Amino acid sequence: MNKFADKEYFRKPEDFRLISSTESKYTHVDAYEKVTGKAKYAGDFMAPNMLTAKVLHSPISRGRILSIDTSKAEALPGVKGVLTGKDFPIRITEDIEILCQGQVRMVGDPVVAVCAISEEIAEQALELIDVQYEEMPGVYDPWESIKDGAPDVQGYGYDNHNIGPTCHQQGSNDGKDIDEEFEKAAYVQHEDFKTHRIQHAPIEPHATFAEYDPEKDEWTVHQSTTMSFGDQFWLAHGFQKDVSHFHIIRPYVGGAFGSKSNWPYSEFIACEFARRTLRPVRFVQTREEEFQTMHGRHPFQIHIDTAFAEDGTILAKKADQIMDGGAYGVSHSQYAAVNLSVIWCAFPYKIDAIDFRSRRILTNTAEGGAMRGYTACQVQFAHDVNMQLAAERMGIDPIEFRKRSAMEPGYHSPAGLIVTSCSFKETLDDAAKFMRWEERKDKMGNGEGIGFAGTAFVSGTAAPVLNTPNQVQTNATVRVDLHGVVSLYSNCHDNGQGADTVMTAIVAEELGLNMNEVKLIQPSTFDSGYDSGAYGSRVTFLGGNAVRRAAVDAKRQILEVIGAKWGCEPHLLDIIDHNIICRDMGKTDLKMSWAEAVYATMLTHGGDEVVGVGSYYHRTNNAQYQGKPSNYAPSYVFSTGACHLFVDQETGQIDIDEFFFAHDCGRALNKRAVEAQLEGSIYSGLGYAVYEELKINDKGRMMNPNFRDYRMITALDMPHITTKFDYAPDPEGPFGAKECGEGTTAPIAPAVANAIHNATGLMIHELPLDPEHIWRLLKEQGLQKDHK
Amino acid sequence: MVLPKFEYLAPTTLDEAMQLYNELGSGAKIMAGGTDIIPPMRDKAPGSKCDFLIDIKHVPGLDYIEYDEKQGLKIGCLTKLYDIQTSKLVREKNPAVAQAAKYVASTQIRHKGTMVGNICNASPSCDTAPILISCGAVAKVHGRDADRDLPLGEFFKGVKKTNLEPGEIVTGLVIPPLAEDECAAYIKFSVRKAMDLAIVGVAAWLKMDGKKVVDARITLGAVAITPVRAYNAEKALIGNEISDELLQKVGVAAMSDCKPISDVRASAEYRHDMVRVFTKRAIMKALEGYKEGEI
Repeated sequence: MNKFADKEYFRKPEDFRLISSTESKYTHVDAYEKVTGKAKYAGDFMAPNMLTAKVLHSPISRGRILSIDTSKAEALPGVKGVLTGKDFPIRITEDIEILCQGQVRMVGDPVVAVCAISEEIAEQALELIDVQYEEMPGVYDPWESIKDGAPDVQGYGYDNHNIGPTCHQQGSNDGKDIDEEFEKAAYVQHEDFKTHRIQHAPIEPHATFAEYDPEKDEWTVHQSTTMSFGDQFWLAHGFQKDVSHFHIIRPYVGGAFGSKSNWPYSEFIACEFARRTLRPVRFVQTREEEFQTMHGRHPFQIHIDTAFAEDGTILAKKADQIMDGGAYGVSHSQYAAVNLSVIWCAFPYKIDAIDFRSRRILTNTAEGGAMRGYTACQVQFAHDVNMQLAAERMGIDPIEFRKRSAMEPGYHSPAGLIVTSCSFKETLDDAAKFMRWEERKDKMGNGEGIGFAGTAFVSGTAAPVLNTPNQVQTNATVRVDLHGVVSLYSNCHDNGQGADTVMTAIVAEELGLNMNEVKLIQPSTFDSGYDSGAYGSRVTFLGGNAVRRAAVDAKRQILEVIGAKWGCEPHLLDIIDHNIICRDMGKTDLKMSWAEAVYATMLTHGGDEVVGVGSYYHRTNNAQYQGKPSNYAPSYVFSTGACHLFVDQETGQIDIDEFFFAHDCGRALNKRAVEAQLEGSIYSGLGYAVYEELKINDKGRMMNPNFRDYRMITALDMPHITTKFDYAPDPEGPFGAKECGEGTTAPIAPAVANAIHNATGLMIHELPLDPEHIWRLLKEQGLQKDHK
Repeated sequence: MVLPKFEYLAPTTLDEAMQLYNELGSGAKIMAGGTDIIPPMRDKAPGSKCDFLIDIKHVPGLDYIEYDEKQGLKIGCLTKLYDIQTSKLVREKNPAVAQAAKYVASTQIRHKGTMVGNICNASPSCDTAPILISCGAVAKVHGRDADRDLPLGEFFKGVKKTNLEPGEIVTGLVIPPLAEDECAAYIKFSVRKAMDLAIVGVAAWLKMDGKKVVDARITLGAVAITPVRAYNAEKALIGNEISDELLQKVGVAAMSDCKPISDVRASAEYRHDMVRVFTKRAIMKALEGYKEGEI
């Protein structure tokens, strides 16, 4: 990180030309390609001689592979290769086999791979493969799984009682003792919650197009990914080579929502077939494979004990949480799941004494993993409904109740979190105002309700995934050619969220250019610097800061040359709308065009091009990996969701009349994208809250891995939405920006749950809130007519 | 997933289609819009396989919506669901039929799929069957040797099974006119507002004399292997004056008329209770009628 640039050149007056502009000069750089269908995704790549790869999956949830007979498949004309577990004698991230080596652990585990000259022949070949299994009893519930005598889910012989990573954080401010806090509490509440299993379901499934060059011993892999350096690292590990053999190119990505921060079996299989056949190989996963093998959202079971003071402020909180991790993830790679799920317990309130534990349990079901709002959607559903119930029982208005404990700028949580910019209270007020809460709260009809939920999320993470110098997260380069055309070399992963656009805009803003004058180099692991990926809401904050530093570094070199010519301090110069100008008193009439200035700089530098470099890391320690409190992210965001709905008391169906979303994302750099992200968060949050659920039967088989029975919301199901996101800029974020679009999924489910509670008096402790679930609650609890 | 290989045949006359269908036998399927034929083939669903696909889309004269004072609404076997949903004639003469058409799948699919195809697919949750049965509709069946009228109430035999004889093609539907004192409605209950299968569907046809029900036909969808008449509910209804108490009673009676299953979309218990709720609501909706622009 260039400290000099930090100090002198970042004090940019807020006369932005592009940032926060909704005028047409702020363009979405890939909109044209995407709208016209020109954009190429990994599955669109084709080449003469290309082969198609497919995989045969385990039909059982746990068992031994007794035999595999592939002879008929191999004999089928057009089949060019067959692979089994013995062809991949390695494991990645400790416990994952590319193809199962003797044992299967979940329905959908990959067992045999084939490649053929057409998809049709590859499918036929799969039907000709005979795999004999010895079926063994599986375990599908985390509480069953940790009992003595439960089946060993993985069968690796780890002595772990099927318990994977665990995070336990205890701490307090000002020497407070948690037990004493509970003793002196005016009100103590104990609640249990449960959440269900869903999947990301991006429109584009995981896809690989792999080519192998035997002369260079080098793979070129077009991969639908949000973590291309992770792909490169694990492919290198899988093939026992160094990373220089793997050129990972990221084409357009058709959505990820967390699912593509992994290294799917399909890419290893495609690469191995490409090496063996010397032909290009394409592997596009099926929708069923996406549902069964691409690690959706963990189901949680959560117990919360909370101690409140007389005035409703939180004195202390304890939580014990277990998540169903599915069949894989014993290693550190899934540590983030438990660590984050502990952090969410501490948000978004001031809680001075904490004791939070999360455990990730193995079961013979599909693996859980990162998904939009990594564990925040589950944990904050529970913890916000917990707040709602407490507010009601203590007789305090729910908005006022939340504000009394709400985090504020400068608060240090015993969980290690240091709150910088924070407008949580403002988001609560805005939501109450929009819903006309004060006026309406006592006047709603039967079955009508309003619910609020407040949550928080990280803006970036401390973890660069791989071991990097200084924990650096992103390396970016800005190069200016002799004509003044700027090229940005950045691997900041665009998965549809608009990273390419915002990075282009940041450079254009900093250099006083138009967006079309900044050329983004289509990224790959060899073409531009390290970026740890699109996960943990890090791209705009961490990547954007690195890109901005690269632009500032290039700018500095130019301003130093021009400053010397003009006899001014270079940091008093600026570049506005294609001109170098001077902010020094008395010299404000000085002006030079961008092209002239670039030419002059190269002349001064003996013809060398101007190249600026930038990087960024979050200044923290790695205590978080030891389960100790640490400041997980450089900044945090705060949201309030609010929902007005009607409950059909005969069917249990809800009708959402209005949804309001207030999000403190600092300064919105691309306002239209932020608005769309918030609306998208409501879309996926509502899907989670009401519509989507992956059901597992008593044999561990997924009942609905398809879009017919897995209900994604349709346009007709979306409520009317209003968003608000103009809050205080963040001091550390690029141009004041913070996270948007991931953690914003978290307040949706609790807002809906609280609104249903408000409408009916039902106590809600479990997701999803589909009609049958509400109907069942109405039957069990009865309509609480006098609840208001 | 790849579509399996099959022979695609596109006859241009009904005779040609009949001849092909009868010659090729059980390996052949008739296709109109194809929306219930092609996706299951691609998914290799049981019973989806076919060697010959006879696409009758190119046969002229089978895409029509007509109204005859005596016979009622006539709908051709190539008439698309979207055209039925938006037809002024259908909305005027029997809006519940337009509503049933609109409940099917999505706008895109309704631009391809037909009502006759929806019937011939014989899914237990078929959206257009209950209202056709309740309204006493008849399928015009074209056979090799003779044509016949098959009432929709006798059309379904089981899951994906109809009472059509081998080689028979349904060329159209005839829905008797609603008299002044008759009314009808259909309500589909699903979790999503589009692209969803019914948890239950209830159609009601009533003949009224003031507040008194003279005759009634209630049909339930998605709660048995075929759409089923709710005879117990009808019995409770006929001869009585409409009241809240009566509707409660009728709803409960309808529960004994069905045998729902538990599946991934809903439990049998929930479906049972929703039959109660939506039988009441369908009757109320029939009495209330459809407003202009509602569908």
